[in-house]
Amino acid sequence: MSSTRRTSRHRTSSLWLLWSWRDLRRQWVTVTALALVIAIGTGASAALSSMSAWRRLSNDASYARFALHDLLLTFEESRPEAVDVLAAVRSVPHATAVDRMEVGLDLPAQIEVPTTAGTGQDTLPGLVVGVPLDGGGPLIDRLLVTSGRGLRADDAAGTVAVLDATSAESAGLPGTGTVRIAGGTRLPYVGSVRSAEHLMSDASGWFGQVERTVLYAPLPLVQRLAGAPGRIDRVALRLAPGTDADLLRTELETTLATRLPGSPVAIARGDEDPAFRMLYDDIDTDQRLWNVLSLMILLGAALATFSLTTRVVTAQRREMGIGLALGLRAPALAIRPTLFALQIALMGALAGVGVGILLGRIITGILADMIPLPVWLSPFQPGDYVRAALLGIAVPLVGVVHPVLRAMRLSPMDAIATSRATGGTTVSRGGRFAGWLRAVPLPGSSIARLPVRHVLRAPGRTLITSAGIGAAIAVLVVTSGLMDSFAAAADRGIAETDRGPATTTVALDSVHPVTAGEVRSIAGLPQVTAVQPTLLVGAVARPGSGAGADAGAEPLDLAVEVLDLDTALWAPTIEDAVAPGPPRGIVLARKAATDLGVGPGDEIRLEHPSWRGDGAVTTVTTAFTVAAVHPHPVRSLAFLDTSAASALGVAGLTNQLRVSPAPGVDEDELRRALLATPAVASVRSASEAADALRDAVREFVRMLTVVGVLVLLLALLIAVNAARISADERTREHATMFAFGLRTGTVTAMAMVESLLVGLLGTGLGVGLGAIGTHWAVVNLVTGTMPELDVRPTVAAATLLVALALGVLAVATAPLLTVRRLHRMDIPAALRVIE
Amino acid sequence: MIARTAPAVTDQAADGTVPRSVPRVDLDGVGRRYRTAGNEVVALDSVDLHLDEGEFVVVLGPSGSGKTTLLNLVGALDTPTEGRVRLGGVDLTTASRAQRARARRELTSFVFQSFNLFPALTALENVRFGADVARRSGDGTRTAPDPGDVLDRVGLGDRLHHFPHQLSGGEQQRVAIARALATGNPILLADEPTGELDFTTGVQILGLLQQQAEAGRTVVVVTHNREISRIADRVVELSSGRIVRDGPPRGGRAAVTDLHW
Repeated sequence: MSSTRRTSRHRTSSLWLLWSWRDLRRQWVTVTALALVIAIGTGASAALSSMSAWRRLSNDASYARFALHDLLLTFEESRPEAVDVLAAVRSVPHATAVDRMEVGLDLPAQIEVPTTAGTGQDTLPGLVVGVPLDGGGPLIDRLLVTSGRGLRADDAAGTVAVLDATSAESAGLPGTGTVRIAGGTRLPYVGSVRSAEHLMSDASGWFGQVERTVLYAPLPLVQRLAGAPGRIDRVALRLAPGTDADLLRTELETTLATRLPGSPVAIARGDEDPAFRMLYDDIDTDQRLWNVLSLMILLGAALATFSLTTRVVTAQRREMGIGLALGLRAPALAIRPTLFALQIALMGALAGVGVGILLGRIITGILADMIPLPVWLSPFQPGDYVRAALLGIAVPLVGVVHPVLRAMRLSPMDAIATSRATGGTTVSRGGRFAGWLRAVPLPGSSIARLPVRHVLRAPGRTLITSAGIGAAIAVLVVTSGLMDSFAAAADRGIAETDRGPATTTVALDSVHPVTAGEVRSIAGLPQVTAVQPTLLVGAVARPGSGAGADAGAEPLDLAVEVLDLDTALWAPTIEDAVAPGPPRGIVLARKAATDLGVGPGDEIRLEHPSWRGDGAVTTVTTAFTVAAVHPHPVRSLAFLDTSAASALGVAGLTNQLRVSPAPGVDEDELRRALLATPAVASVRSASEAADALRDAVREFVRMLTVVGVLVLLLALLIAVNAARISADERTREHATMFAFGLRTGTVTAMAMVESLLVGLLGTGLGVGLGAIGTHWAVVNLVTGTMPELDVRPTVAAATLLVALALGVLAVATAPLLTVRRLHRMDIPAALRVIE
Repeated sequence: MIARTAPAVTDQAADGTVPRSVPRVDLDGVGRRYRTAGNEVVALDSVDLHLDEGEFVVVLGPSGSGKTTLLNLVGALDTPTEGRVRLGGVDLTTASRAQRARARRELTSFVFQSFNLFPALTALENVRFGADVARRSGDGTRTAPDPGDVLDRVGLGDRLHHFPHQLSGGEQQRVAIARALATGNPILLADEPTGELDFTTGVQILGLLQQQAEAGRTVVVVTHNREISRIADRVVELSSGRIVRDGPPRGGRAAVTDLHW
């Protein structure tokens, strides 16, 4: 190739590039808005898709900092001598695989803490955890300091503790202070720490949870307080890399059973830790929901980008015609619009990195509020980003193809004359369908008809603009619909819990006879007017008959509350009862019945604990008839009348009381009185139960709110951009109207009516798709993400109003943003646009 | 309300419409300068022009002579940088945007070289647009000619429901003229109305415009085609923004049928 030809090609390339830059500069507002649409689409999509990676990385980093045990030996019924346990561990065949052993002792105790107001003392159920300090603090299952200081080697012989940060936050305790534990020992705590074991609140269910205030203290101190010097109930093991933990576990079980027969031990791997499992198991099920939302946002942005790019490039058709007339080959015609779209796409994709990083920080901030991991990471995920960015870049380029191909199909003169034939606008005449729509007779003056005619004249363009708006509205409806569905589930639960007189639920520290002194002392409190003993039993339910038995439905964990359904202070709403009157079989949550594939009249088999006369507990399976269902959204809640308690082997026992306050006694006063009573493990008022339900969906609601705000922004950008592009397309028509003396207000009103029609169409599409999407997401995703909760597809009136306000009002009023341009229009210049 | 001082002309127009009072157009010492990229372009310089009712005036000149600028000033689309423009006694130089819009709504009508029809509206609806704009003026009692009749009179009675892209160039320009006539406004301003038309169609259009002047409207046609000036009552020649000649056509006024180019 000669240097002259190379130079010529170089100059041509520079010209195209320069021309496209001028296009970008001339339409910088439209270009910026388009780039932002792409940025939001790619950034939000990448961020939402990255959540599982972020959570996994954060979990890994956090547990690495905790130095989570490889094996944990727990003696639940005894406190053997530490030396015996350690000797037993050292005697297993693969003892050399154990790199480190650390012992500990838990001391459950009532703990007096200053009241939040600082005016007195609250007595809370608590746990003092004895930890070894010889290595400067535990080196397995480390305590990570969040405020104040941690325990040091020189604290080993002292009377000092640190407070568990999760407990401190839950009880509203200061970072440092002094507590008093049973027996009157004053225990100063010098800081607060986060531990792997108590990372999540002890509250793991919906009702009857035990909320304990956890303190960590030197092991010798705890042994002294427990009256068990030299004894332990826990050993954490760190194994050499590559060790088969299960093999070692088997060896330990065998050895300990032989050497310490009176001390049954439970041995668990680190990855079997409940908090660990919860944190990792949730990731993939949650991610499915975010992936769908991510895809919807990306699709919404893609549709909008396609529509807007197509319209911007269509405006260049006349210049393409000139190019054809000057002998340019067809591919060369595509260079300028392609460069234009590519640069917008690249700008948008680059800005998407920023949106993604920002959103990542917001998301991990929300997650950090919910899950107090010591490390939260949201590193940029190139894979997720590139996938989204590729679509973000490809869509505008695809948007270029259609108008370029259309221009190339025309003869040069037709392409040039397009503007004249269409009265100076750049919209095609449309096909046969458009012809039919154009001919639709309309009432009113020509000024009233014009906006409708504009909408009907180019149905393809109208539809694609509406689809962009509709996609954004659909995502908004889905995100809001999911929030509505969660809120409706919580409201159903709260409404069910709030039935009848206000009661407070008291969890006892263990199972007691209903006639026990502990129960009587609570009933005798002056702050209490009535007490209803119940028994909360954990059970596993399997279908015994019905469709579920045939289909082999999965067993469900249930929390069966045994209570007198005739006289209870609170009883569930009974629905679909087999027989009138109080149900004489088990009452399941409607969702539990559905998931088990049973209905009223069917039988389920319940695997549950049974208390023998000597106090020992065995696990037995009993068949119960499903007597009715109740509407509480928590699937695990089941109720059984006391008349069936003997079948369960729990007659006359209680571990939970429903308490009615005396007149004039407020929640706090009742709570303080109850917590100060022996055997009370936790107290939960009706309002706290409601809060627990709301908390259960709070993480999703906050995340969805972030997504909703982004989608709102996306929809507004689409509306504004569509209005600007319409104004550009109509410049000559507007100038003609002004030449005839129409006022700016009239011209703006016409544009608003046109936008209103597009907005109505888009909103109709969006609301319809959103409602379908909400139904689909709730049925197919939420049931997997939150199987414990009966979430039903709900789209609240407020969501519809917001969608209407956004899709109709915002889109319809978007042309107001062009009033200034209209007002300042150089009419003669606009009339000469193509002359 | 814009005050009018010009006498009313009540002759019935050839299209059957009755123009309202036709105002005088007065340009005194008018100049129009544009600043572009640091350069000053003088589009019009010291123009004095007075148009009486019912005149058929052709403004003649080459490209860049300032004829479209002159038309825009007369039509209240633009304001002069020097001098005064008065339409029916109203000083457009100092009028507000709203007053200028009102002048366009009530006094002038435009016919453009490239027609500027609304592509989404049929021929009838385009013409109705002119009538609808007229009805929005003043106290709302103003009447406008029937759009169907106007289209019929420009020879498009059988093309009422055709869209612009379904019409030929000449037909589109006739629709544009009909739209201007439907306003009922007394001053008709046409910018190169035959510029995109073949000779035969162009002559038909000129005939239509001439009929409007005969009916009492003031018609101003801007063109670079000297032949067209032969049918005018008065020819105003512009060169470099100045009037170089103002008077009847050289060689006397010709009939439309005598034109050829």
